[in-house]
Amino acid sequence: MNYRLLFCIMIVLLPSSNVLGEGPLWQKELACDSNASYSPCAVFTDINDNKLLILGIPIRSSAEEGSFLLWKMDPNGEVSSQVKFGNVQKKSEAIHRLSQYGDIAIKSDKSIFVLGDFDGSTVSSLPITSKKGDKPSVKSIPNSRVEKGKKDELILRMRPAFNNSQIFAGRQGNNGLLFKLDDTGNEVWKKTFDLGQTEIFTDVVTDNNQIYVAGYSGQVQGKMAFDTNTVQNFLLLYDLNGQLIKEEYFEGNPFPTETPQVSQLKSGTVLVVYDKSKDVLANNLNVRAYNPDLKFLWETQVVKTVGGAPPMSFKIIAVSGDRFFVGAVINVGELILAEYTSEGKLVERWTLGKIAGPNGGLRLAELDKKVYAIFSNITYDSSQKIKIMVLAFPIK
Amino acid sequence: MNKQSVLMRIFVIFVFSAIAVATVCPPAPPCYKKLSSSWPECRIGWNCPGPGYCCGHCCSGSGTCCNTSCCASGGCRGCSGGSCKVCGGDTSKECCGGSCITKCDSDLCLQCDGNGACESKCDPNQCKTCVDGECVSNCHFADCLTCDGSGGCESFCDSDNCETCNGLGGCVTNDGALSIIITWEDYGNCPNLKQWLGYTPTTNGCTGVPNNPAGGACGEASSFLGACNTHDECYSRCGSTQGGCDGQFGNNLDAVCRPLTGTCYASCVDWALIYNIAVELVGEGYWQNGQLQACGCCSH
Repeated sequence: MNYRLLFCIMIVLLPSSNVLGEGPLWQKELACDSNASYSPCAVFTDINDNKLLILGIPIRSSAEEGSFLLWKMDPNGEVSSQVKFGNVQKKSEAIHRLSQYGDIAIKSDKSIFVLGDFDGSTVSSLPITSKKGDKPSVKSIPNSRVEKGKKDELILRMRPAFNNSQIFAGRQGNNGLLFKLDDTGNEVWKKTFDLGQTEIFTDVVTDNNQIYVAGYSGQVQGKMAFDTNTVQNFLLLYDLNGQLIKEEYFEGNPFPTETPQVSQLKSGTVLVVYDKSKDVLANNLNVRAYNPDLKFLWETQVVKTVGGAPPMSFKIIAVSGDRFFVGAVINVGELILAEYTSEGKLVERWTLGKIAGPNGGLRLAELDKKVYAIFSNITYDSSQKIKIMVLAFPIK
Repeated sequence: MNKQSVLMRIFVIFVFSAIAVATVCPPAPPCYKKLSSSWPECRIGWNCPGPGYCCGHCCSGSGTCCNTSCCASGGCRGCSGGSCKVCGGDTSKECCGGSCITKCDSDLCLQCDGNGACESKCDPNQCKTCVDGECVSNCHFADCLTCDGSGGCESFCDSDNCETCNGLGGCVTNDGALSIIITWEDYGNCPNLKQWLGYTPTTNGCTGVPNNPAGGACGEASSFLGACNTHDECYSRCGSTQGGCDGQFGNNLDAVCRPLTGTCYASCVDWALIYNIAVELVGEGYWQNGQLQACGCCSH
């Protein structure tokens, strides 16, 4: 295949039911300090306090150090507080991963639970829990401590569950990994998923009844792509004790990304956004809907491109009014955001060209009848400064 | 004082000075011997440079006169044919410890022991033997051998570390001492991972994705092929870590992009980030395969 030609003649094919939005309600840039660039790692909506919590991860070159930044932002974009904590000494490659796979949550004691990967030399994960304990790595957050993950574990997503527990999804070696920690950070159960290929759990969501896990499986072809013929996405249904109940499979892109992502409407409909394209350099972003028992309901296409770059950053979020938003960074920096009804009908879509960094590190959050897209953007000079962009969009 | 008187004084001083110089010679040595009636006698006043030297036809100290020469004491010197010669001029002899002995055969690396006998100058404890008059080591460096100080040779290659000699003085992995690693569990349990000597890592560029994703007008300057191949080699180097290889990969990709400008630079950096993330996501299996192929297990 002539990828250069495809690259040069990149064509964006929009769905027929295109509804273009007018633009974000507002747009903010979170300032980076003079010594470090920051990439968003995670965003958490603190409903009780009516704030957005945004975690910034410093992107550093080798041997430099930097601190995390945690911003509290009002729904109107005003930063009410900014906390600097921790000390990260990382090479950039680990931080790139951090910026894409990290999460934060508020625990029952109002402390912050941070998931990140702090080991630049291996594929590993290191959740930081802010529960009681004593660990010097995170000094400026009271009662914080570091929990070190295993070297062959890569934790991609953390989701709050019932009783202030947390569900983690990722990879252990070549198998999908799912485990649960209680409010104090102790492991409740741990499960792996093996189809005989390389399996990665990319996202997880849970209600008070079941756990839905999205991921993909494939035979690695080389070091940065799967054999197209072996790739398949899956959506798995687990009970609250971590027992696998049902599996659903669908097509997937051979380029490794964080797709598929999963969310659940309040009505119970389970949604997955994924890249259906079999071409590593193409995007065919689709949403599939299932009922709570994983019976297929419908599928709709969000955007399709030929050529360009592989899709790197995807998110889906269920919002009030039984609507959902799909966000994606495609074509090395183009942000797509679309609002849908629970039946998959497009309400509105925004396309912002070349606004995000190539991987974007996109996060979506809902607060005060708005949806916020938080992602990184790169300054393309020798400094390669990265800033955090926060865009607010209305929920129709 | 007239001029004549001055000249007279100078003359007198000169004569007395000459007499004083001529009379510094010590008394006649005991070895004095008149060899011929036509020879003058040795007597005080002859111009001897000092004791032990011949004064014309005589010598002093413990030396012996030999014709017109003086044979100094010691050194096995003796008078032969009218001149002083070592061991009487017998070339088959050499002076050893003050005695004349049959000359030590240098072809056999023999040397005087200082006590009137010959000995080998090759120390057997240092593993030295005589070859063509030269002391050479029995322990050949090319065979990675060194002397143990007790006359034995020992290898400086660590066989406990599954090393062997390459015949050129270098220690290399002894493939025959390694066991094959089949599973990743075996890899983790191996106490001493060693790269197979006969293993040659394979490189195949960026594998499954374009080697030059920025391509187009940027030309070959934006090609990631070299960085991808280096990354392949890193994955296939026994003992490497995936994180270390991926980090080096990112740095190498950045190095490709840095000289570029404008849209080529931006595109290049974008792709570098994307490729970097991709190897971190799925490179582990590829790295593991590289390790399983490159590494054998040294069980020592």
